[in-house]
Amino acid sequence: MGSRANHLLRRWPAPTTSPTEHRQVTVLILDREIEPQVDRVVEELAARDVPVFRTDLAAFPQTLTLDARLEPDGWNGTLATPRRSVRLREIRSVWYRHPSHFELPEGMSRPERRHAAAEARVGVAGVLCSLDALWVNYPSREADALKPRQLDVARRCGLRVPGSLVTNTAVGVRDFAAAVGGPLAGKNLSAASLVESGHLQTAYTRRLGPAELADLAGVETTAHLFQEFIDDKAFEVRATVVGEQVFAAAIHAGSHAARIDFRSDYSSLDYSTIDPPPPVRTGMLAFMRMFDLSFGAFDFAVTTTGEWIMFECNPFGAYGWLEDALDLPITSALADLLESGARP
Amino acid sequence: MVMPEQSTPKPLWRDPLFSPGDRFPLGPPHWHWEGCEDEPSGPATRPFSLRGVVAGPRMDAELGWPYRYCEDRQVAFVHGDDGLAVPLLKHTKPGPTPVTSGTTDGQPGKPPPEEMASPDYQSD
Repeated sequence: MGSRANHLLRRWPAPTTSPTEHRQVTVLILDREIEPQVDRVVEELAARDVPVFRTDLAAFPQTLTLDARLEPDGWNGTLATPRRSVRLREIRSVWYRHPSHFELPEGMSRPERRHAAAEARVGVAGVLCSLDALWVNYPSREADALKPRQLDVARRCGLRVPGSLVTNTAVGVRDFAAAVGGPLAGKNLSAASLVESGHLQTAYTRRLGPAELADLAGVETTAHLFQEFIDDKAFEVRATVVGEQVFAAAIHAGSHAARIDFRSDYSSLDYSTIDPPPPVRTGMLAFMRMFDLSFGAFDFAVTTTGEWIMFECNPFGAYGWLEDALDLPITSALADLLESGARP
Repeated sequence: MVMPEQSTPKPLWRDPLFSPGDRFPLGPPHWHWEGCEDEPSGPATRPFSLRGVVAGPRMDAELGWPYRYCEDRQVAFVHGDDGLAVPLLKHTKPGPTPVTSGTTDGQPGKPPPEEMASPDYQSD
């Protein structure tokens, strides 16, 4: 990893607190209220007598209050609900997952709501993101870790990635398909789901052969990601990285749909633990450092010849179902990280 | 109040690509997706990447959560047949589990919530 690569992404500043200075350890968790993965960590931290302040930002401003004052050594004050409060200075670490948007008081006009929502986001985010705390992960990491950028960083980190094309031209797709000489995978660059006609719609990975590539209408309407389809895939791997620890699960697909995208048919899946080859492990940890991540869920295809090909890393990926299936101690590792507040 | 001067100011990283909303993503409150009744446009304008999407549950109505969040323990519970409160996480082990409309992590046959939690929600 050269210095050029190290400058690719900004690193979060090192803590300014002296290691010997006493600080109360409080873990702030920002996520929805109904989320079993978070429940596990809350219970684990409670068993360790580690103070936890869990809230969804939907509670702001109606039941969650922020009262922060800029002091010579930074923002201080309180974050409080009717049941509990935490001094901002006591927050050692923050687990940021999928908090909900602020719920504003009824009766506001649309312009007022837009104004109030923007003020809330900048005010709350601005104060919280200024805290001298470990973030798992820092909120903007999702914006940092754009998929094309991920693929390039993974390549720099020594991980093999599929041949990839980002385009809005049909001729570009056809040229790429000719160069690949086999089927392509059609994937999304951003979210795999949208709400349409009132229903959640999920766009899974598609295998695109000559028939599917004959009609490329719609490619020109926006950016599209095409990759070489890994036809000799033996199984996939979800490798969850917590700090420096790697918990890898082999995912064996039992249906045609799951072999193309395992998310499309969970009922057909079987799991087993697996150790990533040392170069893959080294590459993942380098990738984590490049994006300044403390948590990441990597997806790989493993070919019949044992080659590991990385698709992407989700900085906020799910892991609970694999922890259950394989007794992977991911919750414990997360609790260790949050309790310590130590940046990997 | 006089702020102490920093001898070496920390560099601030700004990316013009992203708004504050992108850099501090938030999802829809209580899974409510308002104003998402639009129908697919048609083959001339529909992105190629949306071909073959798989329809899931309706997202604009109150989900039938059987769980209630406990402010004291900061975890979710459901009341069992015996009336006792059972933590939600006890229901996320492999095997038959109570089906909820949205919390699917750990339930075989259902996707983990990451697919439903794409933080692209923008309040008006």
